Amino acid sequence: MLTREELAATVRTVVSDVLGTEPDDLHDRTSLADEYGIDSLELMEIGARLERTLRLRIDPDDLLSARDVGHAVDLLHARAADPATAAPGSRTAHAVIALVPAPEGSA
Amino acid sequence: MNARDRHPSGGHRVAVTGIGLKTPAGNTLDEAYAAVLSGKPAATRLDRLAEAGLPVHIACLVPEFDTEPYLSRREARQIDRPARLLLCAAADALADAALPAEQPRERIGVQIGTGIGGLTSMEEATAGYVHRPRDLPVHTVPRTMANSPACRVALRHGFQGVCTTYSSACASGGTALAEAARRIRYGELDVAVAGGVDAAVSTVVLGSFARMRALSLRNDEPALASRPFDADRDGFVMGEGAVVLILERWEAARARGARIHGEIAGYAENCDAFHIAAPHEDGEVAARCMRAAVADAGLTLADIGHISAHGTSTVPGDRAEARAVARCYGVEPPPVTAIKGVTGHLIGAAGALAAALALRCATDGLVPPVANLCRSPEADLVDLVHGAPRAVAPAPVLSNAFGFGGQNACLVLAPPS
Repeated sequence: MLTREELAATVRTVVSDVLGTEPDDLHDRTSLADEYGIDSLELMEIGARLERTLRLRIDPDDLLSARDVGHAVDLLHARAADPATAAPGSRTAHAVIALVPAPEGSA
Repeated sequence: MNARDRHPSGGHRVAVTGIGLKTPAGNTLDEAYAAVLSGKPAATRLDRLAEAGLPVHIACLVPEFDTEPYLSRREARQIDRPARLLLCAAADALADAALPAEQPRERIGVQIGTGIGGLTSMEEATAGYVHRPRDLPVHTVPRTMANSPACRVALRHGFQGVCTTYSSACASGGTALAEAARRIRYGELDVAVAGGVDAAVSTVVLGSFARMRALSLRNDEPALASRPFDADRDGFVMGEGAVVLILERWEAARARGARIHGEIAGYAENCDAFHIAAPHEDGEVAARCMRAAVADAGLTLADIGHISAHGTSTVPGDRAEARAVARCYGVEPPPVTAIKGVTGHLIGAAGALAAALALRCATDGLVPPVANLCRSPEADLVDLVHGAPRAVAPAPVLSNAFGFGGQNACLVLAPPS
């Protein structure tokens, strides 16, 4: 299994290729949303490339919920260590999120 | 509205205040104009076409240029060649027009013609992923959709007026300019970023045109292959490129002191409704389109200084067009040129390139020679310019764009006055 450092290098390479930047421009605290205005298609492209490179099934939520590059690396690292467990900080896979308040008296 | 700003239709006159292009004849209007006047063909032999097993080994490509000033790496990797070329041509056209910063973005629209659109990109996606569709790149749909280049221009510059992609085969560039001019004339837009694009020098596209025997097979003499109206023509030479014109209301252009290239004074469009690929042999419907464009400009046929023919270098197309011109003019036709001998056939960009060059020719009073024209079976019908540019009085030019499906789009381009 990759060390966190090796994983971080892979993530930076893939992200920089999609965003047309250099791996060295990306740090753990880099926010792809705030600093690069990354869109969902680009995130999915990054996910698809990481899946191919890491030979790992990646939950799109892991990338969507990451605050910054470092957080994404942490989530992927946890996922790689134990694919069955939802990574810390990510939403539970397939969770149903209520959009309207539950009726009175219901659980 | 001041009387001299009013079009004969009662609407606004349409000024062209910016021109940008990326074409086999050059990447600026000056380069393309010089190439067309000198009659120097852009066609070259491409080994990759021979290696692909195609019968056609020649095409006209846009000369390589540095896209770094135009496109970020991030953007470039999401889009295909047509979108890249159009973004670059549009940037040049906008720089040329130098619109004021306060120009309302919701009143600027993008109007682009394309004959082939994203089919070449879809060809690549098909070749690469038909057996592993789960690996398709995420950007496949936004890259290949036909309206992608036009919408990329709108997106880049924040133009929120109507954005439309027109597809009328080889007439698409003419159609887009006509429709854009209409939207300016009748007040729907203040500014239109209008023109055409195609970049489809690919195995399946060339192979398909070749199967119709539409392409020249003069593989050993690429410079002699595209020869509109010449007795020895054997088909067109595929080109690629993007051409963008900035259109705005005449009075607005004058008021801001813009450099005005000229005017889209008239336009007309119709359809042969005769055959899906062949033009109507007697040219009657195309002739009607030409007359309607001249009438729309408030001119008579005698006011036209010369005609920029669609002239692709196919026997049926050239012959029908010569008959159409003869049908319009009878015994005293104006001189006729056809730029495709130099540029090749840019498909969706062809009509826009012809229009851009016609504006310069109308202003300078020069008719470019038809490249490679030595002897013509149509010489009894039309006055074909050959050998060297012919000087004429500065005057409006009638520019034809015709396409498969019987599509006809005619424009009248007038010098600034």
